[in-house]
Amino acid sequence: MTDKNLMYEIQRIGFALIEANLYLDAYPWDKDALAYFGDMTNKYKELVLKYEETCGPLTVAQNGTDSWKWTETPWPWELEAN
Amino acid sequence: MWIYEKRLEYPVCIKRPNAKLAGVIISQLGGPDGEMGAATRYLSQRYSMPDRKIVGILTDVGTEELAHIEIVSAILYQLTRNLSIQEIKDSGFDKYFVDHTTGVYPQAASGVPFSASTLQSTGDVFADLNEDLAAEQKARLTYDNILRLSDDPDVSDAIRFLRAREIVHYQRFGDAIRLAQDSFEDKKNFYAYNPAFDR
Repeated sequence: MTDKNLMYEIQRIGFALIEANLYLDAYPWDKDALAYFGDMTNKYKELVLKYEETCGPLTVAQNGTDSWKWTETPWPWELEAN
Repeated sequence: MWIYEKRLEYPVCIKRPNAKLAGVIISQLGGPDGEMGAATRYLSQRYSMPDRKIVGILTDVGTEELAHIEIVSAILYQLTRNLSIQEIKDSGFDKYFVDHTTGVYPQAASGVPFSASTLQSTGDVFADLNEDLAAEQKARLTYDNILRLSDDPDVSDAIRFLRAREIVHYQRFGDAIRLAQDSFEDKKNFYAYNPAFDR
């Protein structure tokens, strides 16, 4: 089962992380950006945990050992995943 | 080392298949200024950079380009689903279809397959970083041309996201050039030689 709203939230916060990441590569001394990166990282981890509980693993390491969910859930380009 | 995350960087949800539009957008997968070239360019160039911050920019922008390959591919996949033979003939997609059916193959809209001859990794800091600035602008203008040709709001939405990323990447490569200049501040006239090789 996919949860589209939760996935959009992951994409939203994930995007903030990418932006902060690229910015910090060039401006590593910016303390505000570093704090922002920390906030987004925490939010991202929370969202991913929530998503993986109900929708399946986002990375293969989170598959667990009950069953091989990795190839059961839709791939990202499928309409069902968007 | 890379780890795959099973999601798109930005959602792609196209309601209406459109083979004609797919035949144009494919240039941003395997064309001269497409995402495959971008990822290959930055991930190849990073080894000769003099500063770890610059290597970071090339590694992380290059990694984001891999996510953009996937977004463009998702657009192509969704635009070419459930096509009838009549639609394939009428749209001009038949010339692609004969070799690739509706598989995703990296090529330019003109039919030229993806080639590393569209990019460089010179081992020279300022030559490579200036190529990267030009590459981002060329990708941006290609997305602008795609937006001129697209009449589908679902497609244009994802294309506008990709277009905006080119501008941010351009800004970060501008930063990278400044960081390179700073790292050579004790050297004279560093544009006149290759500071990564002529030590």
